[in-house]
Amino acid sequence: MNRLLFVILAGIVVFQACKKDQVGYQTTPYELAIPSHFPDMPIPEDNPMTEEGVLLGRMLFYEKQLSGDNSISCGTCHSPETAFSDANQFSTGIDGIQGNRNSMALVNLGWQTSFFWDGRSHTLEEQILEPVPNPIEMHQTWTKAVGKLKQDVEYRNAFYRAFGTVDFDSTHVSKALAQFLRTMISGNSKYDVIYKYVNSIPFSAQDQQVWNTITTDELAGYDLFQSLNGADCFHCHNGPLMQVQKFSNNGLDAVFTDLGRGIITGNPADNGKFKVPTLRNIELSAPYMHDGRFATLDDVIEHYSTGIHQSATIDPLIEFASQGGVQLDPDQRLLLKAFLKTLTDQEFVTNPNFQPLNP
Amino acid sequence: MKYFILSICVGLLAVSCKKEKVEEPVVTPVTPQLKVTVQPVFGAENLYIDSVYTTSDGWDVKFTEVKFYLTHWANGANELIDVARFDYTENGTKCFQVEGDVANFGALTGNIGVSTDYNHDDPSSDFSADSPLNIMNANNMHWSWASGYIFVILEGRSDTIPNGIPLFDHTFTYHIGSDTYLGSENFPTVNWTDAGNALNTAEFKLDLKHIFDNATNPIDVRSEYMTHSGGSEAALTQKVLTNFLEALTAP
Repeated sequence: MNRLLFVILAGIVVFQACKKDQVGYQTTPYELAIPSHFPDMPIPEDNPMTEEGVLLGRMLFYEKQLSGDNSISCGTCHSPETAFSDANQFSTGIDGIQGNRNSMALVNLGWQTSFFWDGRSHTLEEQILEPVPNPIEMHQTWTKAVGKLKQDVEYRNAFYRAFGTVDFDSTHVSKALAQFLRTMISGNSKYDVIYKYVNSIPFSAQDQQVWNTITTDELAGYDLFQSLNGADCFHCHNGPLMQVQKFSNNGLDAVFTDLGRGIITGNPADNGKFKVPTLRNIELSAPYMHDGRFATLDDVIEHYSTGIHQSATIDPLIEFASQGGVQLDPDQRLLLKAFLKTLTDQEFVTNPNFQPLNP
Repeated sequence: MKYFILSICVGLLAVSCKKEKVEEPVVTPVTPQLKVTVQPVFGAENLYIDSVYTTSDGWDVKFTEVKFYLTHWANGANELIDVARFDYTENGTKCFQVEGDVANFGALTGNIGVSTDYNHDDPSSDFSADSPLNIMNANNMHWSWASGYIFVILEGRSDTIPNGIPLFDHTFTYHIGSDTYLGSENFPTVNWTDAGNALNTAEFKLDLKHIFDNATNPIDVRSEYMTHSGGSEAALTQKVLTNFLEALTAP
């Protein structure tokens, strides 16, 4: 008996001595390529950028299993062909249902302080959780979506490499997608060179080459864009991001069919206000406005020129609202459009790192 | 043998009962803090964004934005704060809170606006992410096209048709900026309030009625409703700045 007890105890001692720490997983920090004239990107402490997370996010962005019938992915309504937006006025979900707002172009999301046209999400991770269970979009519970991914050994490995777990959930999906989306930085257009010139930021050799291609019409359009007595666009579309972080009623309607920000805050003073979007790659991301009502840049310019509607919440910075808009003549409209096209960043829209892994 | 087994059992028990080392609580000295708030008012009443107030001209006005920068607030050689940004809509009345000894700040001088040593720096790369001057925090208070900050933003709507119908179909936009219009304040006395826990507070008042109803510099919102501090807007820009400086008073 004593011998048996001794063996058992000795076994316990040996077991304790041999117990290993859990084998750790190793991630590789991801270095964001932030243009020199951009601010630092705020990264959440609980979702640091890693090579593994970004790669997983890229897989997930084009993953149709996230939708109920495996027919659409994030990339369906945020297509690389249209600067990561949707060429349709309204996107169509898996059940054939359309929403009432246009898909926003995905660009420079790491610097945004609110998401969706009405700003109902405060973080990228929070925003990403919405479209999958939304019945008019991907229409699938997160439990089902994650369940599908867990059937796939490639995903199990990818989640383990990114987060050290095979027991992943929607939070991990959201974090990986957010990491990928934060890499989608656009800061290499003709406008960026104009911005550097105006702000006395030194040119690189490549900037100088680009500067040499900028036409007088484009620069004249820029002057109009920035002019108080011209197009007067700069109040809301400004700086390296080509936007300010605010909600604005830009005079689309006298009576609102969509209350926009007002739905979220419940404040009548916010009725008819929507998030000010960036103008980056605007040439490629038609249609325009929160409801995609304008098919072309000419339509947009026409709106600001003569189509402004007064209302109780119109932005005070729409300074010529009382006369219907800024009254641009045909030549001015052409110049303004020429400038707007300088916001196209071909390097961004064709960046292979943003395309599907297995097209 | 019994003793051997017993000793192993006692050993295991001792290992399993080993406690984590308990850290002794560290008593940190309380650092005195000074907090400055700015309460916008319209005459005798507190001002709220999007609420209606009436100027002495009889025009109804609503403010939608009240923002300004202050730089280099100090009492002689004692600097209270380098730069701060007030945004009533976003942050309420809080302007800034810093470490400091209240005994050193019984009076204050400083700028309304961004001093020239900062005004033309790159808002993206020359200021840390937590600086009020970083473009992420400055947001629409930086004019990228003019390489400088907007020092004061006052925006709103007005109803200048005295027919009893609250139409508010006119707007006013006062954007004060450029080195020419850097404002200077001098508060010979600042009365701080002991809020306990080594915190002292000073609540400044910003009387926005004074923007329009200044005895020597009245602004008629019906005709003087817009400035962006451009060359042709010098007169109104100076009036807004002068009235703003007078509207801000120390406790």
